[in-house]
Amino acid sequence: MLHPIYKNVTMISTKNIWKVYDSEGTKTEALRGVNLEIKKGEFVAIMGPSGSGKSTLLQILGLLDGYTDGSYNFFGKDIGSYDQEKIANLRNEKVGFIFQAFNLLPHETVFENVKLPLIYSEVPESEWKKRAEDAVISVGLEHRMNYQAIQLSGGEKQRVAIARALVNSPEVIFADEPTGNLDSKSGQAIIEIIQKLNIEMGHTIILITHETYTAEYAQRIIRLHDGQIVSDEKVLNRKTKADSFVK
Amino acid sequence: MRFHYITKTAITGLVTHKSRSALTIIGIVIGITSIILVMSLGEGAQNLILGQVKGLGATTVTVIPGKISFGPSQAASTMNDSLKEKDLSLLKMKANVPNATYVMPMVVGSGKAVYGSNVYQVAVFGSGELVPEIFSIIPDDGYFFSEDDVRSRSSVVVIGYKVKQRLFENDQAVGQKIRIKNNTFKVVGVLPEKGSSSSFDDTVFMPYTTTQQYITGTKFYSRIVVTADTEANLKSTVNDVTNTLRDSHNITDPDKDDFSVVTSADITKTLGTVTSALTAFLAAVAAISLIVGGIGIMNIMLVSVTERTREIGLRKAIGATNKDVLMQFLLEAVILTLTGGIIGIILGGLLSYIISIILTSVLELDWTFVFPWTAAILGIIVASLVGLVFGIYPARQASKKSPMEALRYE
Repeated sequence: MLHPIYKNVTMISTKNIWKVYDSEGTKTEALRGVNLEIKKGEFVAIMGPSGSGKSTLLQILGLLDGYTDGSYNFFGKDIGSYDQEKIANLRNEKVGFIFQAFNLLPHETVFENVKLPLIYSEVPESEWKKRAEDAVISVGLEHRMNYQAIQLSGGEKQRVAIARALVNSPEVIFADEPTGNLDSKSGQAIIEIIQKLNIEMGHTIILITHETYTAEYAQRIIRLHDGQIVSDEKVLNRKTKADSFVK
Repeated sequence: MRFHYITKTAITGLVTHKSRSALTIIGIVIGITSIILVMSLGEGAQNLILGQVKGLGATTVTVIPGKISFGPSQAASTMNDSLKEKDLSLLKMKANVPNATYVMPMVVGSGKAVYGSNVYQVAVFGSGELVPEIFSIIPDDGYFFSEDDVRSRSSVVVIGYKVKQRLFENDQAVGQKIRIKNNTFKVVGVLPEKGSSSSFDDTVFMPYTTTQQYITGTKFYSRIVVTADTEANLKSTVNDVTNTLRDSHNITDPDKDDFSVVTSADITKTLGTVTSALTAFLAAVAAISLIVGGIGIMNIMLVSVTERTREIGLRKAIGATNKDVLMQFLLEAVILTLTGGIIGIILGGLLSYIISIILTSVLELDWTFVFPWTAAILGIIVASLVGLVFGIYPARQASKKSPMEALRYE
């Protein structure tokens, strides 16, 4: 559980973020002046219809893409001045990703996949094995440790991806439609694990989903429409593991 | 990222696509194999040729009619009639060439030697009686013909080891008569086996006067061999021989010499240059296949980069820097070409060894297998360079990919 002292630390803050794609002279405004603040330990769901700019926002917040205008403070630092290498290091140390398509290396084992972020990190090599194993155990896949990713089910693959996101003890985990490629039962298991990361381990979670059911596991739902935030509300009846959308 | 992890990642990437990796390196394997083969055989050939030339001795000076040339036009020089009896007499005079120990003309011809039903193509060396002294070869059966035999144009021959084997098999040769160009010659001596590096084994020696009369029908000489008394006097002997012949032929402009005076060192040097140049040329031709192989590597690496766009995106998303990705793909290319290089060196060495065995046992050449270490080391370096040069473009393409776009790639 997150220590109360961190509760009010602003982790992510954007001011008037714009993202304009220019494709052969045709300009598309994906984000139009987004102002946002997310505190450490929060679980925020970002929702919106296709083309609303939610994925673009996640990519910018997750340091995967740049923005056209505005400013972005990550842990109080304006990352606009950072070079590619510094941003790569920041992604490695502070950020974990969970993708809809899992993005595992299919022919590597579960253990090797989970270990992957460590090989780009400053973490001493002597700690890699324990860290990776602990992460695999934390998602309940210790019995699949030496299986190749290609041999796993969809739900198992996403758990490996969660373990991989956890292995570097990141400050914030970005989950882009993590249940999108899963059946409802596996999807529920995954969102429960993600919620557990927030409630029990204190990780800040930013989740993108188009399913209200999934979004209600978060504390707060931000809705986007045409590149702008149209609502930002607390979830009044937050779902927990006890609830189930598999009826 | 630690270097050994980049290497491990690169190797894993290649092993995952085993057959593609194998097919990709074929071009490099062929290139390096050809280079090793050419260099090894070139060095072997050089040793063989130079071994024969060295048999001439360090103090031997050879006068050849016509301007010196090595190659096809050498055959024409044997038809040049610039060396005549008058030249021989002048060279034999102590006043002209004071440091000469021996002066001996040679007339070269060829023909089929016949004994009974056995026929063998031989080289006919018409020489003086001084062959045993000049070439350090003494018959182990019979004797070498004498000055009298030369003077009286005797129909006597001394035959090389292989000629004896082919014509007489296990029978006694000395005292028997053989026929060359419808003339009968009495065998007076058989030379010992010199080994296949020496052409003497295939040779029939007879007095040069006899050769002129019965074999070539000419009055001039193909060679005049002069030996200097010491190696230190070789140079002065060359000068004396040259000046004597220029006087004899009324030549004032050295460019218009109608003869050439060469030492075994000259021949060694020239042949060495010729064979080295030939080897280098063939190696350069073989190197072209390396360029083709390199382009193949670049092509496949580009395909691989496109195919693994999502993997690149993922690696970047979890913290790989541009440099990490560049190194990974560059190393994949270098490992590919280096593997190809090592296989090529082993294959090239093996092939040239097999060829050397064939040349020794089937063609009975005194061929020695030479493993070209320099070429092997060069091969390793060149293979790595090919990987670097042709791998850098695909690797840069990979490293420049935006993680977000790469992850979106379908």
